[in-house]
Amino acid sequence: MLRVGLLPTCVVDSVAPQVGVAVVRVLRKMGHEVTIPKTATCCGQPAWNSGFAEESASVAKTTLEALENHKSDVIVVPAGSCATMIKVFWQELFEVVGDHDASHRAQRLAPRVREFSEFVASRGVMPGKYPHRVAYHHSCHMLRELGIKEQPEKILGGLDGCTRAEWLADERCCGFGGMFSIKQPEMSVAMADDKIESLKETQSEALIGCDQSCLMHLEGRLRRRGESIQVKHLAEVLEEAL
Amino acid sequence: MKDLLEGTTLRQRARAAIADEHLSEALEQASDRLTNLKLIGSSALENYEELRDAGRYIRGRVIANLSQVLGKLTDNVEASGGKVFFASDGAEAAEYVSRVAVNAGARTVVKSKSMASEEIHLNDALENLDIEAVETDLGEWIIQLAHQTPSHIIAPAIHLTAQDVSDIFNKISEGDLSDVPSELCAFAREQLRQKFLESDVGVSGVNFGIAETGTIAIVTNEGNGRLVTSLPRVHVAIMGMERVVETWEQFDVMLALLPRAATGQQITTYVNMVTGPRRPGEADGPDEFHLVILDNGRSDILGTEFQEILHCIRCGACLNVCPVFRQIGGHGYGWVYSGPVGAVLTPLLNRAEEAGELQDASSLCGACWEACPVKIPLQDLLLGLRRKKAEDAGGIQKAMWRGWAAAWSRPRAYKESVRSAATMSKIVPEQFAPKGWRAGRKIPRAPKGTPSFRSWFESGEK
Amino acid sequence: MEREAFLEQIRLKGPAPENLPHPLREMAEIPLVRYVRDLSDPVSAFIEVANEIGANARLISSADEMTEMLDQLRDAHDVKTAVLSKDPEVDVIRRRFASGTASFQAVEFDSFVAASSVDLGVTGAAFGVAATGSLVMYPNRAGGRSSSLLPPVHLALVDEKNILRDSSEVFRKMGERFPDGLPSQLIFASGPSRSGDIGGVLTVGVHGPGHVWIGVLKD
Repeated sequence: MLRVGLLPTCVVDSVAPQVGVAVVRVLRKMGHEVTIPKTATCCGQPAWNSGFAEESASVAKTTLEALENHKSDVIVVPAGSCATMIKVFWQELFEVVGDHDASHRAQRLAPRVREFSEFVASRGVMPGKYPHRVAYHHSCHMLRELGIKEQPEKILGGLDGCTRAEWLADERCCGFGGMFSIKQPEMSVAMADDKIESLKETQSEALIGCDQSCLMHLEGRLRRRGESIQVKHLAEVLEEAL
Repeated sequence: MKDLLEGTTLRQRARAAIADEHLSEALEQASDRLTNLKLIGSSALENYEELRDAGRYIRGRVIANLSQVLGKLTDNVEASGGKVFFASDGAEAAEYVSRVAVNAGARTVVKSKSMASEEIHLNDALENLDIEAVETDLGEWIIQLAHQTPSHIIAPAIHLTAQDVSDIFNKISEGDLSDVPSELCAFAREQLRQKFLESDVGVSGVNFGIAETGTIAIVTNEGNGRLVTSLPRVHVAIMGMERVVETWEQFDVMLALLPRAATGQQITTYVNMVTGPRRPGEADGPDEFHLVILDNGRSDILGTEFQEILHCIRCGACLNVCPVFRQIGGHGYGWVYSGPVGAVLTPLLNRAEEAGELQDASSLCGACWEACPVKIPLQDLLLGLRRKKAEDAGGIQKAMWRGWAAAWSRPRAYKESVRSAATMSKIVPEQFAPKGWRAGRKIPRAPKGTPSFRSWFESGEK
Repeated sequence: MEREAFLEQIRLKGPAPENLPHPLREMAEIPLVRYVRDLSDPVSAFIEVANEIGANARLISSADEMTEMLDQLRDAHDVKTAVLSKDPEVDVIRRRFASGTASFQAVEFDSFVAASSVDLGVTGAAFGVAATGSLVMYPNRAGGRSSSLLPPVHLALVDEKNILRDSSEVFRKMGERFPDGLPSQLIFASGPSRSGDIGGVLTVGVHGPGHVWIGVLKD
């Protein structure tokens, strides 16, 4: 049993509480004690990706302090992109704004921070049942910066009755890209359509991912197109399966 | 070639490209085909990854010592009987090449593919002197006949189908051509062969200069690069100043990477390595060899955080994997270089106000970095450009981010802000959502009747 | 612009910043290119690879086999005339043309005009490169550049002993291969001229030869 500190992320805090609930329930079911670092806010990624480093750093530093002072064995982040921001880009961000001290602190913190599926997979296989055909979306930062690919696949593969469809576009960007989705809506939506066309070929019942922001974008597009395929965070699947 | 950057925005160009179904299909097919070929090509090597590291090291070393390397290249080109001209900008380069053509009494100049020559508007300069400039790379020729611009670094006519090409060729052919590629290809061979035989000047690009012997290497599949450097009396090669290696050992590595990353080939059909003009006793080959070394904004990149973009070897691999390129194609980027490398190079080689918002033409997915044979961290460079752009951002944008930072760096204000976002998401009508989002997507809504995540957590429910 | 001013401008820029997120790394030595394919028998690998990339390559161990190849080549491409380069390997068949026993006509290579009006270019190659199926050719050997380039069909003859394992045996031994300095043009030619520029469909013979035949001459 570990003491798990959970950084909910701003997307969970604002529009996806059900994902946060699922994460907590799954972690507790695994036997861990879950706490939330109360003063943590956001990882600062929206501003960082838009070129506003100072602004990003002031938000990131709030969360950095909250996480490093939090009494827990690991910090779990249920979003590949936010986990990457913390583990990879924070050091760079603080260097860019000239805060070397914060950069070193971010570097020290990084190993304690784990993306949700990576953490779950590292604790061994859990028995569960999910009799559905699903397609898994590999989100970009999680895949390419953190190198987390097999863990979520392994988790899905371990559930009774769960079939993971082969998917040509599984590693292709969904077109969310943070502010990109609003600044370049035509490209963003076209990228989602490209991914969705390929998704439909898999004839899956549900689209699963570990980044609620990608899923929010894809779900928004699917619903606008009138498609009924379900969209779920991996934690929601596990909540149902375990 | 016209600069598309003038007068259009990235979004306008993107919209036009996305609306073109024909183009979308061509882009999808080409991207998939080239990406698959690259995987096959790289898997034929045991140490492709190690060679990528070597490629990055080699390029880094060369660019860090660029003045010495170029000095050595120049000495050796001159020692083998060639002439070297240093062009600080496109106008100087175009003027020099024009002068060489005029001195040679040229009426026709044949060109093999050269991105640098697109950059300096060479064809316009020659045409102003009534000298016909003929593109001989099949794709480039098609584009030239259609009065378009290249849409891909290595496959300029990627956006056209065989039927499109047939329509374009039929405007200059006497008989009716079908849309069978081999027939169209035979027609091009015959037409262009005449041009090769009657041209006095051949203009080529340079894939790599090799400093230790003063050699320039050109890779082609069609053979036009060989013809351009074999038949005309004068050969002018135009080289971006960064396109150089020190040694043949380095070249051996770069040649292992370039074709595999570009098309998955183990080697291009032809690798043509030219050292000076023809020698006595040789039946053909140019009497004069000129090398134009082009700066055109590149030296401004040296010494900055963007220097690594000068490592680029123009293989096009980043285009083929880019999900944005896949949607908007080369023309969406509005200038000579497209895809991720174009999104970085264009703002650096042009005035910022002209380059528009090209650094935004990326979701920062990192597929380009993964594909790059010399591991250029393109996403780092794009982010750096966004930071540069943000410095000059307007007051409203700055104020918005400042306000965001002020709120979200205070836990209490953050909680208020996400709580009201949650409430809003439950009740706000679609039409009041941000326009950019609602255009193509339904807005995310927190489930009605559920508390916020934090209040659920604090309530101690299970 | 003057050379010194141009180079000085570059020199003055100084090094790139050091605190980059993905810093450059030194490398002790530049690695060799290692192939998955077994190249321990370069001659058979060369023939195999050349055929894979669209050439028609074979081992020639007798005069009869040479005759057979020339006849096949003539029939396949309706060859009536050929140009002969000055590469030493071509001497093996030059006599046939001189004595009139060959089944088509041949002229000597003295200018690109000669090469541009025949059906076939016959040349030698200094080396064959097994890993990539490449022919290595250069004009001070062949007498010029275009005999292997202009005719629609190219026949190259290469000595078995000159088949090398891979390109490093040329590029990393340039001093040894070219003790008197580099030729004005060094060509690696691998398979027929090709293009994918029309609708992404592979077409051959767009500018260079559309058909490449290779005879590897056994001692």
